[in-house]
Amino acid sequence: MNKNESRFWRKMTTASLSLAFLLSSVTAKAQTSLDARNIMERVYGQDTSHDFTMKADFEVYDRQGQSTKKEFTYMRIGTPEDQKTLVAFTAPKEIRGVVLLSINQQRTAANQAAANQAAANQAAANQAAASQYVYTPATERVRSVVQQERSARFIGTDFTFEDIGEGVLEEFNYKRIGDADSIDGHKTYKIEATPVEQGRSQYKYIYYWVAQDVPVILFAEFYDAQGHKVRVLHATTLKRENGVWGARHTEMRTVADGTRTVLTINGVKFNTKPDEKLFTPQGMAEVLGNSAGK
Amino acid sequence: MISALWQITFRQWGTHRLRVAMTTLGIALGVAVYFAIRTANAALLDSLTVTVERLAGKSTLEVSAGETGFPEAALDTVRATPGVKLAEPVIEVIANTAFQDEGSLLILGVDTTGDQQLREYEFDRSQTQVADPLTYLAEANSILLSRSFAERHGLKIGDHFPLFTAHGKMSFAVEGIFKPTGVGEVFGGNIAVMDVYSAQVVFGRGHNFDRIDLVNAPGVSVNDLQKRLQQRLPAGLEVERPETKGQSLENAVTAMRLGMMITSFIALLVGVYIIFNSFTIAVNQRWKEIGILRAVGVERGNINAMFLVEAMVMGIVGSAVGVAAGYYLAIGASAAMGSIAASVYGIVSTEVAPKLHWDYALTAFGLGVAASIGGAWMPSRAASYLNPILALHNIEARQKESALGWGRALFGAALLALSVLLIEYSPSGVGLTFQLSYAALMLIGLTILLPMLVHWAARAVRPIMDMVGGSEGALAVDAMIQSPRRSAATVGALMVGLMSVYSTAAYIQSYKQMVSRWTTELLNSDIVVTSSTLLRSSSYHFSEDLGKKFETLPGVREVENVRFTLVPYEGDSAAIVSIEMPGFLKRSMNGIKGGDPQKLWTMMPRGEGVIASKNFAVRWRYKVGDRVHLDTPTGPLELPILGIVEDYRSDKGTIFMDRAVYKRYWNDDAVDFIDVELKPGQDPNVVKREVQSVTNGTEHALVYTKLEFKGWIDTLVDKFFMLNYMQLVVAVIVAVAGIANTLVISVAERHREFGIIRSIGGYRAQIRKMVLLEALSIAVVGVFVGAIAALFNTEFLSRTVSTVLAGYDVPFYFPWLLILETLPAVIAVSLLAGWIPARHAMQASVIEAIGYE
Repeated sequence: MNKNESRFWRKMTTASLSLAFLLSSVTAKAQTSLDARNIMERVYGQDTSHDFTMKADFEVYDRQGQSTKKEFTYMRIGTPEDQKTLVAFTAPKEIRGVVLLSINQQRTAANQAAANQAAANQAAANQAAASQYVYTPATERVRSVVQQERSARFIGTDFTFEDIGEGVLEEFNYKRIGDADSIDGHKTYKIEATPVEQGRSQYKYIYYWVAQDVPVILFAEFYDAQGHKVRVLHATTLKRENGVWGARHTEMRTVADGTRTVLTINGVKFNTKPDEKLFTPQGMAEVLGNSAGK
Repeated sequence: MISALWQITFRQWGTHRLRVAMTTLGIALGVAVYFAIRTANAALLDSLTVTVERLAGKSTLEVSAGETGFPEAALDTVRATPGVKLAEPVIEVIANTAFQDEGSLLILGVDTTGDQQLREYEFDRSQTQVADPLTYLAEANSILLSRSFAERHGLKIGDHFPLFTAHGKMSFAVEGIFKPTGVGEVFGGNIAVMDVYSAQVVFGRGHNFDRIDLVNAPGVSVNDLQKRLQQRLPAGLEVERPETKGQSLENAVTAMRLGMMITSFIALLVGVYIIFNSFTIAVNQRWKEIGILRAVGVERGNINAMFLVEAMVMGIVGSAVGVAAGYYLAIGASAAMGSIAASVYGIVSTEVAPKLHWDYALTAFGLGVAASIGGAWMPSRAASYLNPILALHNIEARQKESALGWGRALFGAALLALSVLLIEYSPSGVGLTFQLSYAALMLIGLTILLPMLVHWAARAVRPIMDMVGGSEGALAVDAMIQSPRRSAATVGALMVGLMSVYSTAAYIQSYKQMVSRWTTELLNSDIVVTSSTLLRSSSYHFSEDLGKKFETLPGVREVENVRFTLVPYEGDSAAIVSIEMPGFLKRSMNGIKGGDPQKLWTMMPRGEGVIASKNFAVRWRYKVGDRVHLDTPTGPLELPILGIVEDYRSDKGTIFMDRAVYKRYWNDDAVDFIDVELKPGQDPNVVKREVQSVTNGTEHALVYTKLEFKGWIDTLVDKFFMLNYMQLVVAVIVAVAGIANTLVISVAERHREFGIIRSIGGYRAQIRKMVLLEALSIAVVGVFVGAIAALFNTEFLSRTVSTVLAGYDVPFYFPWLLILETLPAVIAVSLLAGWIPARHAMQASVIEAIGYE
């Protein structure tokens, strides 16, 4: 698979995984002696739970300030090496019942090489990544889905697939460039992230402001290949759940368009042991009924 | 010597500017029509190619199964085939909008999450690609529109608009607008994109796709991948390069293109007649001059060359003008052909401006020059063989023309007889070029016979003209009789035009009678409900639910669902009509020939046999008892032919089978026609209204009673022949131009004669009357010989052309009534064409006219 592209729905289903990253579990105590990578590692620390469920919504504002809201339930089971995630949209009615499933098996070096070798063959490529599905109730169909550009918008929000995608930590080099700024009452580290390889990111560089007292990104600015600021992220309402810190409101603003999207997390549960049959293409149609009560 | 002769020619041109201008215009007209039609043909093919390319995007191969589609499981097979880089499913639908203008919209059902790698969509930059991709995928009625369509109907993102689907009228939500480039340029910009799985639902395609577009992996050749896929997929699925599809579309419009080419040749032929006519007159005018030249020692060859060079120069000028005019004429012709392709053949095309093809221009130019020289050949030869002694006498002492010789007449008759023999008895597989030569033989034969025919016809008309027109009438006919070569040329132009009119009318009339018999025998339901204003829609269908609703109506006894589609057959295609057989057999048994009725009754409803149309049987040399092998999307199907019917809905031939068999093998339950049978004593008009109350506002359905259906079929036949009507218009224009040209030249030639009549006391009005009566005589004689020519041409059309284009011959019918009806119109047109020359003759000065030579 082209490294400049990510799997459309895999990213989609891992969107909330990134949100979970924002809730990532680290020790609460700030450690000012950390270097930039250490700081980011703490932000992107692993969630050790067997499964994770949350209810959230995206509220998308157009340039006139009118908004539309999409509510969804996110479920994950398994470890990052063998992980299955579901996103079931619950509102509005136009998208109610749409379910996205991603079955992720983290590639080892060996199967990555095999996949790269077979990248030209869709059969092999499908086999390597035939693990993203979408269920649409209007057609009552489950189908596998294909790639999207990393810079494409995620389901019409101001987040791009790259913004919400996985593997962010390894794909960038980090430099701590300040610690004097204070945001929403939190002292912050200002970190500059630049892509390890040109072309792997839509961005030339990103500035992060990470709270010094809790491991959460409070603010970020994203700069495109020409060095223009294209997006601004602002996270608020920090909460700790099951030892994991995170923001309950995250706003992403697109500078040029004047549009913005607010992600609001309304409830988080760990280790509820959902029915694993739901995490199969055959079980997707049942997801909404099962997840609705959770 | 040549230089001196050229000066003489040049002086003649100065004296006879009008003749030169009209002759050059005649060539220009022929060349223009020929070049325009070739250019328009090329533009149509370009348009089809562009459409195929745009719709195919970057795909290097396509998997399809005719119009029926195929089970979507094939997609997994294709994607699992080594060497396939990318494979995307497609559904194509031409859906009817429920707008006031009832325009249609080409809907491309694709998987947009991956399809942008294959096809070019440019979304409106002011929008964010698809407004909400999730809603777009989630809602089956979400659609993306080309900007041109959206603007035409004032639609913007978030708006809703109505479309007729397999489930009736549905409201569609505009989720995105894309720029009219790439795919957006197809079908005049009336294009929309929707999710392929949503398209399956709303357009009743079940779990079928119409097509899979795929791209080969780097390092894998397209040919190798094509073979690999063919081995893995069922035989009923075709794996083709996209450009092959363009070829299939070209084949579909072959009849139209051929028809247009025939029109252009007619125009050229008339151009040759005009040249022939003009030079015959020129030789007559310059009789004395030629005699003098010959007397002073100018050789025959030089005289011949003088006229031929003159013809060549006229040809060069006329052809150059014709090519230039033809290019602009091609713009209109191209639009007309595109319109016919869309409305008659249901072919989606993209507007492509005609290009200037230099090879066509040079060919048209060369043909124009050759036609000029060819047309002047006989008169030039006649001039060069002129006896100088006779020629030096006064013009009234011209030697008798040899055009009426019996040897010549026998030769013409022999050619005509040969063409008739070939039309009647030659085998159908000898090739189109050879078959077209039958018509050429016929025309050459008629042309050779023409002076004699004109002579006899004029002699027959003379007493009538003498009685009706007095001495002027007799003089007018005498002018024709005394100059059979010139008269033949004039009448020849008229003959070609009228022959075209009469034989086309005869052909259409014969076709309509044949179709009438067909509708009586096979399409004889009490009420017919159709999904299209054309004979069928290749992509818009009803669902079976609609028929079930009709069954609940009180006056309805029985309902039959009919599917009419094209499937691949033996490297070409064949039509399939699948229908619930018991009802069909009850209605149509009398129309089925050659089969055992008992077998038909028992085996057909069980799906154990097929009925073949006559043209299918002729085309593939089948007879009752032979077995037809069909490769279906789910596997091979082989069934015996149990009967033959006359059926004219497809020029590819039709196979009738039980609907259950079709549904099983093609996995397709779509419905194109619903035949409704009424309970005894029910008023069809009352039940029709009940049926309409079910469909009104919800379905794009046309409901006909038996009688109305026949009328509708007649309308479709008229649409099919729209091209021929266009040909008639061209033929008539060219014929009228020919008459006008000839009369102008005739008046110029008889300048002195008119002067003499005036000098001995003739009135101006008498001169005008003479010219007009000559025009009338030409018209009457033209109708006569035109009718004779049409007899032969109708036979050619109804046997040879019909068999070539449609696979069946059409019963001969000749429109005697039409000929009588058109006579006044032809006379009126001729009088109109003769009016200006008549005025010109009337106003000439006597002194000047007498001193003319």
